[in-house]
Amino acid sequence: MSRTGAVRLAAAVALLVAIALPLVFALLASFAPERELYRGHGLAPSELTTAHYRTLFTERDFWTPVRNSLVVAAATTFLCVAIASACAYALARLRFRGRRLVLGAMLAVSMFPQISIVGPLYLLLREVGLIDTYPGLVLPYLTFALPLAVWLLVGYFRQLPSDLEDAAIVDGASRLRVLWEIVLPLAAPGIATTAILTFVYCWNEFLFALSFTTTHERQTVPVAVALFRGQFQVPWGQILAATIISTLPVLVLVAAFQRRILGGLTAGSVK
Amino acid sequence: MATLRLAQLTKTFPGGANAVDRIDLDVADGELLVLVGPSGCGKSTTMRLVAGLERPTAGTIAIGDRDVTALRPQDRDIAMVFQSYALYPHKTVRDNLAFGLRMRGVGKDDIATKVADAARILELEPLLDRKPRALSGGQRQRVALGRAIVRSPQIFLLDEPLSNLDARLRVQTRTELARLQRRLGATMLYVTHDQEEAMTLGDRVAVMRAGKIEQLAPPLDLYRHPATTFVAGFVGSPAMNLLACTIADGVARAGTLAIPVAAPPGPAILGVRPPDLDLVAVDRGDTRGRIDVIEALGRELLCHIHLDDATPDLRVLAPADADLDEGDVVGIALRRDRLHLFGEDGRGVMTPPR
Repeated sequence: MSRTGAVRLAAAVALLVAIALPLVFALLASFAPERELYRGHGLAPSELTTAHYRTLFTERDFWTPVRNSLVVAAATTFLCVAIASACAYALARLRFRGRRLVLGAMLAVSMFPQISIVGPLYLLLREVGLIDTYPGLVLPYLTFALPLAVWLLVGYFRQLPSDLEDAAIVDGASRLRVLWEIVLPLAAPGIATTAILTFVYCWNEFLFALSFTTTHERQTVPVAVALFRGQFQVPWGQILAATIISTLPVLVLVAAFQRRILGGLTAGSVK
Repeated sequence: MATLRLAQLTKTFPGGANAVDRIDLDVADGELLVLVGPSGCGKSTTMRLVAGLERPTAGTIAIGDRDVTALRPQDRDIAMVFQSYALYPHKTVRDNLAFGLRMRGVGKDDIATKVADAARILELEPLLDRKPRALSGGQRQRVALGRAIVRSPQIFLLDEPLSNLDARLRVQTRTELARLQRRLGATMLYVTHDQEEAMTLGDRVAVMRAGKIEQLAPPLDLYRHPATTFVAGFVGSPAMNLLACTIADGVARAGTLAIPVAAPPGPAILGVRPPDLDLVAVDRGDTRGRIDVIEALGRELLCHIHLDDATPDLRVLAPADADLDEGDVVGIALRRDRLHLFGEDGRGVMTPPR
């Protein structure tokens, strides 16, 4: 191995350790008895226990926030990808007046700090009776997820060889058929990436979820975990266990889509 | 099958340049007409206008007696073969062939029959269940062609369909394409930058330059009677020698060369093709020069001959067995009945008698 290779490897390992260490610590600590958490025994607990996980699902009813998070994130992701695909295709391929303006405005809108629109959104949602409902979270999430998704997908769609779309059009396909039969299958890696980013964003979102839900019945995982703190104690073991559980769907998603993201689907179409 | 008629067709892109400039063109039923020219001459844009992939700035396009100028590509009943082939990478060869029929609502059994026919004609039967990435270049090209013929369209548009093939396969496929076109009686508009392809394939060839058709004629007419210096230089290989000359008293002079011509006095351009020049003894011939480079073409030798510093080198074809060496000084004789003469503006004044 060359010297620069060795340096690079060392840097990569260091980065990996820096990122993974807190997670590893959380994983180990989530299986440690509560009393050991405050003693500073180093990383390895002296005994392992699943007590935190059991408490989570028996006393805390943690299934409800997990279900809520899954429903909200999945619904947002589905709607977001569907709407963003159509928007992005139009912006990527059709020539119309104001196209750049639309793209620019979308980027600008997504730059607003969330905190600045929580108040107005709350009033709006209360007015239409959507506080503490799934749509009451999905709709605000879309306002943030859509611009990013559109931008990502415009980039992916532009990379596709336009000959393919021209060929499909000459073959008699309408624009929507072209999108459905040609563009979407070929942009699958881009769609998957967009979907994962959207899902993770919704899964992790805290501020809106805290502001627009009022009961345990509709709280998402981050909100539920934040509300674990009692007046006199912080149940760190349970919080860590909840953290580990909430990491799982994201891990599964990335693992499942990794191949697609890397796949070179367009090989063989042109040249 | 049908005729194709372009009238005053114009395309101006934002930014000003006229990519296509008032083109008139008639393609007869069953004719293979080639648009040829250097890159940027507007030939591909013309084809995309016919396909409907670009909207013309002015002018009309008619297929048969139907004005299709305002129609969408889907409604024009044309098929196009792209330079890149544009095969759908996620579909099998069978689905690639069937796609156009499916989009037009053809019944399932009908599709199966037509796909089978096209596959038989192009010998694609063993490949039907493969994806494009598992095909060779030549096979992909045949699938692209198959996707066009399976629909039996009114007009075929072919945009440099052979340019991604290697040289040998290109010549072979060219012949097959010509055979296929006659067999189907297809009306084809064919775009290429390769003059040899244009000459061998076209019933007629339109040479394009800067958005205009410079000359439209059958291949041999183009070769024998080029209308402009551009066509003269573009058609034929090795290219025609073009020498700026001055005509006075019925004699055209360019450097040491002097040759009688029947043309009015003034500046002009003298054209003579490499095979119409003969190497002779030094003291005979119309001029003399030193052989700079000899390229062995096989059947012939292509000699680049330096006349003088003011005149471009002459290209001369000599028999392969001629006893020549680089550095030799030779005499050059021009065949009097094979001379081309162009005015200063590049327009033809005199071509060899028909």
